[in-house]
Amino acid sequence: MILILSNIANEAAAHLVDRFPPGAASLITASSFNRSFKGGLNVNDFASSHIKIHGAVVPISEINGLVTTISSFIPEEFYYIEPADRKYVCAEMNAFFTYFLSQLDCKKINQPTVRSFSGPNLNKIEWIKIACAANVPIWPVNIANSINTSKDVFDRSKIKVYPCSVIGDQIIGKKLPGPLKDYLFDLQSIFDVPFLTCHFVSNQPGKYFLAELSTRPDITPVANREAIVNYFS
Amino acid sequence: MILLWGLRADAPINMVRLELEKAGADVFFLDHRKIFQCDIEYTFRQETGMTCVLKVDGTTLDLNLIKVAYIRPYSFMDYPEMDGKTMDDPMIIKASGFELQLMAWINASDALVINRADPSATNNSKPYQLSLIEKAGFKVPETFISNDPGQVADFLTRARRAVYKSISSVRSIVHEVTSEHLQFIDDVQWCPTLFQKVVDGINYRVHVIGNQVFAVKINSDRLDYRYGHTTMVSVELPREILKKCLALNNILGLHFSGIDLMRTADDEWYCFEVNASPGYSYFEQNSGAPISAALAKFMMTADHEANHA
Repeated sequence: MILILSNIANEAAAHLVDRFPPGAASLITASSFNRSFKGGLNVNDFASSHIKIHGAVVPISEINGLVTTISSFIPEEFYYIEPADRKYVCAEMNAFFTYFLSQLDCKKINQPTVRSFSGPNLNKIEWIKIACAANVPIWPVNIANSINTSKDVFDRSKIKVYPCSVIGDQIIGKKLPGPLKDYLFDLQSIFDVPFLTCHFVSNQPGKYFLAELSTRPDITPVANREAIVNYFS
Repeated sequence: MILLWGLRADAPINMVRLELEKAGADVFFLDHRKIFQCDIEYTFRQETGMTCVLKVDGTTLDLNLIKVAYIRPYSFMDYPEMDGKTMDDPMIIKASGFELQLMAWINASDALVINRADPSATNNSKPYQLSLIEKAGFKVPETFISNDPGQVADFLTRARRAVYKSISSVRSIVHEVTSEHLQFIDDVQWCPTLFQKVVDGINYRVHVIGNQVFAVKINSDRLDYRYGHTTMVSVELPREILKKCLALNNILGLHFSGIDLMRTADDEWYCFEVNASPGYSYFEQNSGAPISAALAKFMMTADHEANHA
């Protein structure tokens, strides 16, 4: 069983479930938890825990994959809870799933951390520091009170953008120019995630800079969904 | 330079601030109450690297100068000027943006931070933290988390006596489950809840600062001693337990922690949880343990070493 954890509004999550063989994957969202997901987790012996998805018992040992497209739940997703209680219920659900996902012994895209259900979920200031230390060139940036205040320091018409993702040892999509493949694999290794998306920019031939980085899987492109299914097959 | 970030009225921040000032330390106190007047600007250039400056009250601080940070942020949404404001209010957007960026800079910096976000966040999921506590060699109470009333009923039958509390770090008063509570057991379907088999014994609170340990023994008339008539006294821990406390602080990646222990009549030591931002003042004021002075000294030593590295 592959578990796919997403938000209610992400239609691509349902499409991803459909790409797996019938019954092989299950979607979990915050919607109607009381009906769709029941869990009893034994903290002293996690392997003996039991969960039910849509009424069917799923032994923990049969969960062999996890795809998580969200960092955490948000209170608004618990629309069926009294408004005054949503924040608390959300905090409890997040704490429950932080533990649950961390204890699963299976392939994960991406492995949860204390900060996020999927990968390290670093702030741009944090990942720039790490990428810079790995000698990956960084595109100039200005941020004030978390708002991007970068002025265009280069002629926009001369800038090319290269979005690229990697899953496992496979680059998704077309061949990348120059050193981008090496940068991507280096960053994937440093951030210790199977799935990584980066946006590189270039303003002159042979010069590439990292402009954006995300460790949360983007399942919107069909190619990414295909690659995820292949990763688990 | 040492950065203190918190509220003047917050005893843990204030006590260490007084100790630092008494010792003549180089301190920048960032008053959280002034969050609406604060600005932070970050710049990265390939040629010059990263810079970040903080502006408040006409003062500009180069954050690269900060070698030690002690942070006890507060929820600005609780300030009176936030009454009636919605999340898209410019004041809220600016203040939350400031907080987010300052935390990101602190996390990314080479400073000694008490404590960084990730180690602190283990406390946001008690069961997750318990799995790490076990790695330090402590026993942990039998713990069950669930939103399934049937499974909860089974656990409570097996445990005979159990308490319930929040799974997250949201503060909740620990209560023993009674027959009255069982009438509402179906409510767990709406919100997962943590149940723990009762462990009887004597509470100990241990504060670890680097490699220093301050332990107090607690006597109380309540299960949750924070809400009862409570007395406490400083004690020496058995060597083996002291080592485990240091190991736990280390495993969690913390510089300063408050560890909740219980010693049973059979001389077994259980660990319930670790607070990464301990309200140590309550324990210092009640036991006389010189925690604030030790914390100040720890910070000053780190600041001195960073400046002479």
